[in-house]
Amino acid sequence: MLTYFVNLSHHWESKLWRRPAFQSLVTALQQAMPVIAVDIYLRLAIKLILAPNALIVKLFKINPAPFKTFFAYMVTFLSLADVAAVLIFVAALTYQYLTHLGHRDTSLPLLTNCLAVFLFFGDKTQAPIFSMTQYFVITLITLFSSYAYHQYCAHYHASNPYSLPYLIWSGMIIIISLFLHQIFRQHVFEFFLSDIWTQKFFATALGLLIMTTVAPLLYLLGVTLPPELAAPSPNMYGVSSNLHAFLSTGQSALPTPENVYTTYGAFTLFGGVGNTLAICLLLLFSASKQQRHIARISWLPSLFDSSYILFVGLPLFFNPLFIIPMILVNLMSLVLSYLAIWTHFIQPIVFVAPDGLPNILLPSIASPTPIRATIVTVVIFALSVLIYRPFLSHITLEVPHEK
Amino acid sequence: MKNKLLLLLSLLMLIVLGFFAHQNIAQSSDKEAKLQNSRMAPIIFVPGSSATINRFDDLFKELNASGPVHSILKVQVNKNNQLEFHGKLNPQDRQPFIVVGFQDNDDGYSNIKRQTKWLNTALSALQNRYHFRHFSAVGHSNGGLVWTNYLEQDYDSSSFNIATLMTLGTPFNFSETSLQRRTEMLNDLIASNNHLPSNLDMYSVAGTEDYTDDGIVPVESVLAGKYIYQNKVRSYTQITVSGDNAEHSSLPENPEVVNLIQTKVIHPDKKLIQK
Repeated sequence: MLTYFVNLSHHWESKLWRRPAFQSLVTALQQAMPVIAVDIYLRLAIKLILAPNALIVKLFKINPAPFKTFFAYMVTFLSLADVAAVLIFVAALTYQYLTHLGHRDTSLPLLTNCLAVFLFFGDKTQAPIFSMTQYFVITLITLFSSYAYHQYCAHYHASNPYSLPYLIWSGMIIIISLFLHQIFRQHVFEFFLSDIWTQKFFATALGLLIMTTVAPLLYLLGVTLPPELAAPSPNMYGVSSNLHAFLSTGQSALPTPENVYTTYGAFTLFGGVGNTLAICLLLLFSASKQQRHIARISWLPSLFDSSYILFVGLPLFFNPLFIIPMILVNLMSLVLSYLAIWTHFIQPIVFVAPDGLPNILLPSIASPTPIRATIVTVVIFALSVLIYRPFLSHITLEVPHEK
Repeated sequence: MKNKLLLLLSLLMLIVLGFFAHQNIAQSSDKEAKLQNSRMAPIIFVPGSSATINRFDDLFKELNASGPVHSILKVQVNKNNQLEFHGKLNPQDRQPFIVVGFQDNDDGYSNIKRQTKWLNTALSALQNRYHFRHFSAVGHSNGGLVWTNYLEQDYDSSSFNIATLMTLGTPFNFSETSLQRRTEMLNDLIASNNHLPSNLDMYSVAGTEDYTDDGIVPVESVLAGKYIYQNKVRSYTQITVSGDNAEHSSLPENPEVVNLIQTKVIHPDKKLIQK
């Protein structure tokens, strides 16, 4: 059965990656990788040390005042790094895709796409809000625009790439991006996604199964995940009633022992969605020097649950190879944690951990039965590694085209 | 070799972080448990400018004379952030009266901002001492401004839960007699009113001596509170009292005000049952 899934994933991967759009995507991601790595490490520094509620500041009771000015500078610099990363990715993707399609002069579509993406994320009253988590939208706009340019060029031939017909195309793309901006700025989809997971239904077994399956799909597609799915969230249904019950009555039965926080949040987010820390561990021992390099750069952020260097470096984004193993890992983690709680092998996590704490520590420190919760964590992490291993075998065991 | 070293260092880091995180959680859950199991819900009074922590003594005599006796604690926050405690709370008292006053009790917007920070300091210290989460608040004159500013700037709903706020003759637009002329403070309070707790019941009481003011604060300035609170909190009620003892400095002792504090702040549930 597992062999069938592995072969199926490899088949999907080889079929999809052959297409020019996806080849361009991989190259563009690799070209944007250095800026993205800087961006991710800056975020990590803020999360761990510089923010007023940073993990180190909170755990070691350090006075955050000396970091205040530096923090403000870093936040400004971070927004610039975000813009740079997005624009480099857009420029690289446009260039690579149109070159694949046989275009030599790509300056106009390159400028148009950068402007379109900038305006899409921009706001009249605020600085543009960029987030490297919105790969899906960015990629969609860039590929759609570039393909439209390709089709447009098939109908209009002009020697000057800035002649009126091309400028009309450019204007149309910019108008469409502004129109989309008006729709997307409402954040309706994000609010819908964020609201839906807090419903009581998602504390039931069926609800948890749906959530656990949907989250990796959204993640691999590059859709911005609501915070409730991206990190263990104490806002989910049942968390506060469990904590209140525990604090009032001690170790008695909790009202909602199996909920999103105690199962999905505690046991499927080691290193990020789909226990990606396990992927990073496998790549550390890869035969490929390049993969080992990516894994080493990604290791520290992954330990603190930011898997975006892997997301662009491997890449995980739009990679069909990871659909099946990630869903399998999530389902395995959910079933094991659910059973562990249901059989009372462990007490579910009830406490809210400090912000920024690695998710892999959450069960051990936030469950009233820390030793047993640690055992379950180790078992789930080991099984995650075992599930990912055959799917990644052709990456970790072979060294294709490497000097 | 490099990988093994990386994994070893990571493991060490996780152990250190886990140890300190466990301590952090143990401390915060201990505090949470005390708050959770506390039945105390004090009523905290803040006097206006130029008034001391004894400002509400007559009011407390009235309130204690007509019902169960509430223990009284007075806290003065000095300019150097040090707290002076006067009086003692009865541990059995579910609704003690606490007065928070300030050594620097000058008038003016800048001092109201400072007093807000001092109030925040006092509330944190009181919570650490008495482990309460729920409370109600009364602010006389500028004391109402300090409460409003506190609720907008410093109130943390994960630490506290304020049920009712009653302001007495609070000049939300200082001494301006026209609502068309908004002071900097009113504009600031309106701009930040999204931070007000949405489950708050707010009562703004105005006194009138002569249809225009209570001798000091114009009625219009008290009415300006609607621009801050209306539709931002669960309920906002504007009440005007008149006649004897409706002047600004006598408002806390006004019989109608005493009755309002008893029915809206001390026993809001009883009032509902009577209805």
